[in-house]
Amino acid sequence: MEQLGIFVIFFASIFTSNILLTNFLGMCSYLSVSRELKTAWGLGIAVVFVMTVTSVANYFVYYYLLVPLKLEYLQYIAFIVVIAALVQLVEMIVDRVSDRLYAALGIFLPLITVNCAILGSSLFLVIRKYDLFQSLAFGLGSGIGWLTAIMALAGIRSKMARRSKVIPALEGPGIVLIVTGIIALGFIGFSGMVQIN
Amino acid sequence: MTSSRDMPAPSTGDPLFAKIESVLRKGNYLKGDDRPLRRILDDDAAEVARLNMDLEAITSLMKRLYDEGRKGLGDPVRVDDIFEVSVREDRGILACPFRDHFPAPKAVVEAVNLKTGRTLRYTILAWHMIREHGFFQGKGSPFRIEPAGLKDFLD
Amino acid sequence: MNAFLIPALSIAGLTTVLAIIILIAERYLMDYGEVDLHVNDKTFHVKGGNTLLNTLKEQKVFIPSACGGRATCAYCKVKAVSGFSEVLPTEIPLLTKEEIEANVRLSCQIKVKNEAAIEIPEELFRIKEYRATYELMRDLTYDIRLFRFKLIEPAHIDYKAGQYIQFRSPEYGEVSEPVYRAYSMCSRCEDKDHIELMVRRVPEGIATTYLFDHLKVGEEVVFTGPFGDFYLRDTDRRVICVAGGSGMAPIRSIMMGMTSQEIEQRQPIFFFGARSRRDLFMVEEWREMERTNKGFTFVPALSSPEPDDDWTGETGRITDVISRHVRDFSQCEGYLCGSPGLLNACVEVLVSQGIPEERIYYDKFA
Repeated sequence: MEQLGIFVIFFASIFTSNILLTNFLGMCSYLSVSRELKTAWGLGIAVVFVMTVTSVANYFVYYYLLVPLKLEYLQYIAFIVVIAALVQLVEMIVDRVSDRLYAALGIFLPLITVNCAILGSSLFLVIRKYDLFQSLAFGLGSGIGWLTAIMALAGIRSKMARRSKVIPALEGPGIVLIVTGIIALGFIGFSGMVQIN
Repeated sequence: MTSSRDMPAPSTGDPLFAKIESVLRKGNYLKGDDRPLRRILDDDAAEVARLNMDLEAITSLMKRLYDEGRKGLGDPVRVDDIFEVSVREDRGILACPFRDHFPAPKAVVEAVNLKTGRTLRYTILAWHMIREHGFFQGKGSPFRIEPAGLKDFLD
Repeated sequence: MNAFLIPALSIAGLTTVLAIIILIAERYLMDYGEVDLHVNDKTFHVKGGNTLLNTLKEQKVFIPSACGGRATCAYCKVKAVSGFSEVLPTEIPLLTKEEIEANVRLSCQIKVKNEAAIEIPEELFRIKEYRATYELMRDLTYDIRLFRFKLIEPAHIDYKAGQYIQFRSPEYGEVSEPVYRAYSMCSRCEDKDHIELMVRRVPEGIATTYLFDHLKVGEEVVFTGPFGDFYLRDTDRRVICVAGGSGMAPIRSIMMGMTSQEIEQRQPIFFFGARSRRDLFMVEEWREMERTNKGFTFVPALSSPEPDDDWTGETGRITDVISRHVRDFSQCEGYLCGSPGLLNACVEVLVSQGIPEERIYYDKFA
């Protein structure tokens, strides 16, 4: 794979290769926490935080522990363990540093451990053979991409709650998935801008 | 997903919502009802829509009955020549379990529709939860109001 | 063998390293150590990390709270002089702009993490937590009961007649959490090792159901107090008391605490409002007080007497009855206790008759 520019990776992970809208990862919390803009923002920011930090951490774990010992196949277990530990650490740091931030975000952090997009971003950076800075850009970009997706959906759902009459058969998950699909189609329109595989 | 109404399992759901649900369960607002909170809210919302109820107008009327009924200091008050309302008040406030910082006064409103003879009994906290959160309480809760019952009362 | 050992050990090793990092972080980050908390002119050495409300509770300083720390009742406001975070999202709905500017905070929301200073009213230092035994009860009406408790630890309570306590109703039956409810004391405050409460049963009420149906004689109870600004002011103005239902409690305490000279001088008059005869109680006791103290008048009024009540006393709403019995309101003070509706109506009447609002006293724990 050619050396892709860091900014290219960053922008691509938000728009054209959005971890949620293109790769369909992190759907469960996305569907349940997108009812309100406020909670969506809270969870989204927490995801950005954690995804960036874990991408970088797992880069080191993969290339400096697993590869030398030829244990690449253990990446799934190793990455999950690292993610769980890091979420704990992030929670403690936020609690210590800012009561305000903890009051707003704290409740969402445990939820992120099981978010498959977090694991996904770590696995992808291995598959795509990113170097350290590319991994950082990728983690940060994917997080922001996830945040963008959930904010867009939350905005649409808030509007729909007030104005739309949805047929009973599609109420709930049905219409939400359809809307998500339409948003994903919209994002495909960006693919002319920049392409990464 | 198994049914058209079931959302993802609670462990991946909105943690704030899960907290509210546990508070409601502890407070016996979901008494005798094993359905998850999301299901209760959705079912009642569907019922309200099916019966074409204007919750905004209905809850405004409920508030007006309370305001007028209070003036009786426990004695019944006639409102609009249609209702006879008596309000029982006790000291103290109850925190709304939905964590919206609403301090509910402890008041029970008992209203009789003189034309139909039907009675409606509700607490101010119950009224607030219907109006702001679409929550009519679980099927076994002593202060649950069936949407259909609410509609019948006001006709 | 190696093919199994190396992967197992590496994952175990990785997990162990992470666990150690978390433990160290917890030690370092979550241990706030002992901090100095300055309250008025006193300093407490407390363990950091808890909310201000709980931290103070551990130091036996009781800040009033009605909603159990859920940022709803706003009773726990204190002035935070220094050492606390910026206003939290949970506090904002309950603080006015002036309060926020004056550093008034909800003590149930802010955490003590470093040296800090707060200011609280001095009276709060007198509030203690009491253990007592349930001694006896007396049914006053079909839904009002008098409960008598004997103090264990501390053995004596010092309060002003008219104040209330916060009674702790524990877990029982289907109730999984304790709650605190305010009840005014109806006993004479000279009796320092007992308290008496008048409690009216609330349908589906947590604490009253416990008191009426579960508490057994001899069992221990817990309460904190005394609270409240409702007590007899030391002036020589005429005393007008109005109450309904269990609101009689603090009035009884106040009246029992007045000397015969005070009664002679201040000519107290007590209006008690009820619906029908079955809601009246202690009538004989009040009549006896009238007989032994000529300056005192007791006026019970029924708003809707039953036909077989045989009622010859005052009828109608209590607010109308007041105007019929007092001619000169100018040198009077009002002492009110009852439902929020009754309080509003009485304040309106007394103010319209010329008593300034500052001279009308009532407990605002509604």
